[in-house]
Amino acid sequence: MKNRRFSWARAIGRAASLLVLLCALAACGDDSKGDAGRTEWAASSDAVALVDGWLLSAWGPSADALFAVGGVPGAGRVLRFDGTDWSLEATGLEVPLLNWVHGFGPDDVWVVGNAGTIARYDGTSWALVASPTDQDLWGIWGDAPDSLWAVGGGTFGREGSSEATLLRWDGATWSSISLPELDRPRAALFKVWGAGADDVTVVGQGGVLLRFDGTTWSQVVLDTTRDLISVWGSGPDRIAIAGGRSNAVLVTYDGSDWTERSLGATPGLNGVWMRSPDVIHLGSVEGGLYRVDFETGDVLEEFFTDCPTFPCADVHAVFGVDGWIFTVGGNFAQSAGPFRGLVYSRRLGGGE
Amino acid sequence: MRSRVSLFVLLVACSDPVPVAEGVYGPLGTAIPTATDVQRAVFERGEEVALRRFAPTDGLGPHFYVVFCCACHEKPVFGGAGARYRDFLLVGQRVGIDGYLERGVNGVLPHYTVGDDNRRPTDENADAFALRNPIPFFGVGLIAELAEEAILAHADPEDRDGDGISGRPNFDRGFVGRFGRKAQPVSIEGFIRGPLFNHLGITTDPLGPTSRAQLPVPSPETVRGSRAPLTGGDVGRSVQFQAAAPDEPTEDDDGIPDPELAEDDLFALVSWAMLLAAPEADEPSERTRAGEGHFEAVGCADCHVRSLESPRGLLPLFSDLLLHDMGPELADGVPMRDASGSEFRTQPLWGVAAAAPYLHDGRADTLDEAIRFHGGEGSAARDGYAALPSGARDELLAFLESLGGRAQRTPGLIPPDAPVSPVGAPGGPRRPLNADEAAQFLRGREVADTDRFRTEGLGPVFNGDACRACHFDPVPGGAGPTDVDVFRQAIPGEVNQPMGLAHRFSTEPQRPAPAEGATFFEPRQTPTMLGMGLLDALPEALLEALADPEDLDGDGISGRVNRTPDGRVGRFGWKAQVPSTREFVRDALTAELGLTLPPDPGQTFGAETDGDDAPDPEIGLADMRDLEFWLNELAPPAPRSTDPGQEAAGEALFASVGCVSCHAVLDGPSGPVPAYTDLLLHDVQPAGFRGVPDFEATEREFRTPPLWGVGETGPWWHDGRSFSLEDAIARHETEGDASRLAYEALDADERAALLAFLASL
Repeated sequence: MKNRRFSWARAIGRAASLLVLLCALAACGDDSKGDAGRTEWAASSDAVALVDGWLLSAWGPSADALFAVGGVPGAGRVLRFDGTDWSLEATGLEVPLLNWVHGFGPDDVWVVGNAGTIARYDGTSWALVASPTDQDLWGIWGDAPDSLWAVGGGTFGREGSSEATLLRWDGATWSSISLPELDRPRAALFKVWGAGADDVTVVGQGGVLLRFDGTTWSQVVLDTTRDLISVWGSGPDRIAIAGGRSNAVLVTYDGSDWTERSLGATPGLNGVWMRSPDVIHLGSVEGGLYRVDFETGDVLEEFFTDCPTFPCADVHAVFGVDGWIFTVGGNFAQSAGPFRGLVYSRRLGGGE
Repeated sequence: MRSRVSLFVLLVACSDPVPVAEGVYGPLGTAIPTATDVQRAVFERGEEVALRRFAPTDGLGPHFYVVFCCACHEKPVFGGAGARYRDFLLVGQRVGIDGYLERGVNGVLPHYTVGDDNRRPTDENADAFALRNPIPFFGVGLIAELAEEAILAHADPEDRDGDGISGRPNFDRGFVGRFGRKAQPVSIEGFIRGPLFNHLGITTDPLGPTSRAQLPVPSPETVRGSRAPLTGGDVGRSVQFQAAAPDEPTEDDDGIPDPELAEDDLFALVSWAMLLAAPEADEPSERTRAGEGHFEAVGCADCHVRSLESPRGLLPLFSDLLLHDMGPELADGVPMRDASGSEFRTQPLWGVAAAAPYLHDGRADTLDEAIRFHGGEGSAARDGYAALPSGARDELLAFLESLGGRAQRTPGLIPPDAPVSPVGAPGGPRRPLNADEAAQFLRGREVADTDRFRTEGLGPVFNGDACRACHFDPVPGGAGPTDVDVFRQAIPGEVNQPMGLAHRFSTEPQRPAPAEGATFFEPRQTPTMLGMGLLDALPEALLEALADPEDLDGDGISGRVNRTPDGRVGRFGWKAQVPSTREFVRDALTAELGLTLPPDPGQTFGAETDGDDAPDPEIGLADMRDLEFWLNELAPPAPRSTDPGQEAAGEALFASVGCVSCHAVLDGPSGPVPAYTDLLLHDVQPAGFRGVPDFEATEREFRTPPLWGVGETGPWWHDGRSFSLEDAIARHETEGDASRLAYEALDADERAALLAFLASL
């Protein structure tokens, strides 16, 4: 697809209500592709300006109650989106970079970040939650408010400093969980996602893939040894894992088999999200966004975000809700700054 | 491979053919002729960076393989390839069914560690090894200029034309890879920053946009709209991405602030590589034209395509830069990005005459061997070559050798026909030689400089493939930097049990295992051999007379002679374990190169057989005599005075603080020998020091090292871990206590004078 800007969005203005916006977007969809309602990707410069740093994750119970987290290495920040405007959340917390967000509603939101940071929002205020680790935490997911998992560990492999970390929230406290025996060194786990309390998947460094059946964690041995960055699914028999660092690796599970694919010319993947069981939404380094066929692994379409200055911003996470898809990222290669974030969104088509 | 016939037909029919690129060729190691004056200045600065010896204080390590870029890229001139002694090992761990996990430092196994450990152990669980021979940089800037389409035009990953040749690109972050043995790096900047970190432990930040904009091969500030058509879309462009691909800063924890190489130095280094001229082919002859015909007829040109279309015209690099499956014959099992363990990039052939040994692991000594080692997609061409009449094969090889570099080809590193230095000059003889002697001196130099091939008996284990491989500072025959240190190994015990050398290389793709039970390793710095004949001529009785093993004169300095088991007085080596130049030659040829020797009555060092396939002896007595003659006639380092007054004061202090008690000038048969050594064993080590005994030399004892040329033979100390003369002095203990303390009691000017004296030697 061509790289067209969503230039008319600004014209609608902040005064327009979300309902009017959605209607307008639906009216402009590309029916010729059978993707009624879908729109083109559009950047949110307001969010980028507000965060003044990177954005690593987005989540929300609805498209008008979205949380996005990130910041800079020394300071974590939270943005909120009400369907029209982005705002910088005054969390009152002094925390390092925040890496992931997950929740159960507008009044129960969890965030994790560097140096073992865990914080929770109760709909009114933010509070740090006691953490059993000082390792960087990269992912959090739960099937219920009293049943969460968090994962982490050092990422860049400084000897002696990295320890793959798996944490469990039982409704009262976070505790460390022992990992099963692995066939490869373990320095970090990056993301956790589940289809239910007895169907949880964790991915991490060196191609590590762990599964939880409600009782036991065990490793699924993959051939790929590239880092697996993120995992999502539309159900227990439709799971997609994205990774690869430099070149894209896509791992899928159809309920019986795990399939590993190298997507060749596609840059390394960071973000993955699914709604339809047939379509995987992916985000990559170099600012790429992709729609991929679950069965074949074919790249159906791709889009590259703007790259005003080097290094280009990488997409880090993709998340969808209420028929919208959001993607966030940053110029992570510029680890010493200046830091620049990335936020794009569009309306999903019916088949996506 | 996708045929380009239709394209060429179209070109001929509809427009002028694309001309061959002009103005981009030159002698190997020179700047591209079109370089501007500004670029030439950067080129020179970049070569200085490439030659810079890094020390731990510069950020070298914590693990390292070499200490400078041109350690590996030196053949036949800086910027080129490397001999086998510069091969490096890739190391990994097999996981899953067919998975490969990089170990070491990003998959590279460093040999050295800064600090007390010295020899970096092989990673635990590492069970996969592969050798890599250094790759030449000539013309890489021109390769960087190629549009991705020029490479992709030849790709045929599914072999749709059914010719048995596929060819697919490797990728890095969506860009088409083009450098390295597996086309894994997309940018020259990445191709340089990676080894800086993996091989030297030198950290860098990516070049900033300002630097990148000034590179000889520029990078666009904005790449959007310029990406390769990944899915058949209509995004058309021909923008180059060299150095465009961003990367993260490299970081280590050696205590030196990151980045350890400044941006302007990295800029100069990248620019230097980009500006290296392409090898210039010889004028075609009837013979080479015939050879080219065979080259095309047997199918070599299916992958080694004559030229790719560049912005400057057709670039005759004889490579499609694509990955091809070379089958089990060449597979190394190491995946790199999208390249499998059996896929390799088609190696460019320009300049191939000067790039031996060949193939990714340097397994082929000759071009003939290299062709015969081809497998997989190269099998048909290989078989076609083998089926040619011998005359036709010779023509094909002559064609390959005509593709540049032949005039600069050398059996080692000394340029062909390089004159012998004048009498007394570095590398020259120490006295006037008659015609016969001069010829023998030249032959000896050639023996020392010549890289030995596997088929000539190199190995099965070795540390260098030539004498010059270790002894090249500042001239062949001299000392060597830290990255050619060798390791003595021992089985730890109440007294360490010596087990010989722990070798660095094997002719097999693996790191030679230490001797059973040997877990103690001691590095040995490469000492200079200049002036060796003067030391060889010193009578045994003189050394015995100097010895004072019981310190009967009570000066705190003992001094013992080392003796071989048959009673000869030792004088060479860090433990004075070798009694003569003749035995030194024998010892080094076997121990360091793995060559077997002919018997030589009265001589006991060296081996007459080994475990490799080459017939013994692997070097002849005549060559050994020539080598011995050269060593014995090499001039000692010439004094270099810059401030005679200060140096004279320093010499007086050198004597007054007691250095001369060991670092003595001895009287030889032809007069004083200003080597500043008594050739005796002394204990100057700190309390608790453990070493490796050698004959009668204990763990703690070392020979007084000669000091002539000491200013140019760093790093210092037996382990090569003193990177300044001051540090070397400061490490003197036990018998060296009194002199060290006296030195430390000097004022700053006096210490400077003493150091100036040492530097003048």
